[in-house]
Amino acid sequence: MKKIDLARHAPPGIKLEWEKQFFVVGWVGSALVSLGFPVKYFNLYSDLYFYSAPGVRELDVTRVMPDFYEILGGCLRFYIIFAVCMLLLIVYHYAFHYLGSKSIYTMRRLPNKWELHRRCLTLPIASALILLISAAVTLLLWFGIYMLCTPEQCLMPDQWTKLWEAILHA
Amino acid sequence: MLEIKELNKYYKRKAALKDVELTLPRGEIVGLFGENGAGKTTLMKCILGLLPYSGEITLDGEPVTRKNIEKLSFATSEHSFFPNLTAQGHRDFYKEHFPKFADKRFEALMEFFELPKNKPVRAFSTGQKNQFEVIMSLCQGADYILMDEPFAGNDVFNREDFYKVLLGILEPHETVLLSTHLIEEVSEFVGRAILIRKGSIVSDVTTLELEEQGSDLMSYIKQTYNYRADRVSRALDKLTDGDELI
Repeated sequence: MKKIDLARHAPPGIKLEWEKQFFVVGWVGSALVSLGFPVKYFNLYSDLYFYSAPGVRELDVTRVMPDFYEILGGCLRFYIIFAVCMLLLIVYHYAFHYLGSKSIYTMRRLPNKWELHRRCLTLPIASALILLISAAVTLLLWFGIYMLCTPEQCLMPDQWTKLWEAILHA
Repeated sequence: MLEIKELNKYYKRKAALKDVELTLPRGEIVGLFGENGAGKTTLMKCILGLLPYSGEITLDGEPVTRKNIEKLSFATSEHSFFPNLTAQGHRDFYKEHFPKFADKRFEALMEFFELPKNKPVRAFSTGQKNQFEVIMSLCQGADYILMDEPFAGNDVFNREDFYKVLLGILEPHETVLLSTHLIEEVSEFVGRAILIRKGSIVSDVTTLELEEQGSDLMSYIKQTYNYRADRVSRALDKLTDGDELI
């Protein structure tokens, strides 16, 4: 696979190392924080069972698994926070053309009028999108686990509807 | 031909350029002179489309747009290079965006000025930065090269060399509009002088016309600006109450 030269999609001469590190830390950190959901969920899941005899585990049908969004809480919040931080880099990318020189003059007189904007917007938007897509994929994964693993008797109704609430609560 | 008609530029309510009319044919080296704040930089920035203005600016009969902007290049004392890029990085960037980039000229000028190719431009000395700024403007492949105080900070030998190189390398279709305070230095190199004062063109004369009048550029400019030669001695007299300076 052809390696993408990120420098071609960023302001000329900008140091991308810091941005790359920030993105990786944000991504990995958000993924780790999101693991709070399975930890919480499987604790609650084990509470649905009781031991009727040594080694015999039975479902307590009187117990109810809390709604998905309640368990999810703020587990996906870091994805959103880092996505917003990545978008703030847009301001830095434009300001970069005024640091140490006025390279903005060169960028503004290029035959391709979109070049300046392309170089300022591409990486922050792409990074923010990756984080948001990761958040969406994680949300669906956790929701899938919730729906598939929770015994039907303990499941509260309208979870699909409540998924949207989960998105809003995230 | 670069034509400017009824160009007006206001900063808030203050007029920076007033009804500027100017024509620059191809193949000239034109000096743009005027005191600080006269409007030289503003005029260049308007030509380049870096500032909004009212009036008409055309390049070979067409308004300046992205389609023909490559015909214009710019060297400024504010510097428009990318500080963290190397000279080689600049060359690659310019070649990508300006198809007429003059690679051979770049090579020759870099060698002449002994500028390092693989060092970030931010690490250059002030003089080298100025040289590099001018080199890029000369190598872009533009027909109209605008230079705004390009040699501020360069030593006299350096500047002298540059003027000579400039005369030697310019093609007949290339026009240079050079704004500078170093009037005496460039008087031998410019073929025409445009004087701007408080946003208006107050004079436009060729050096040939000046020669015919038996005048020189410096005297002509002083005369146009009503320069009073006794200004300094009068001021000193006032300061010292007429006593002789020791």
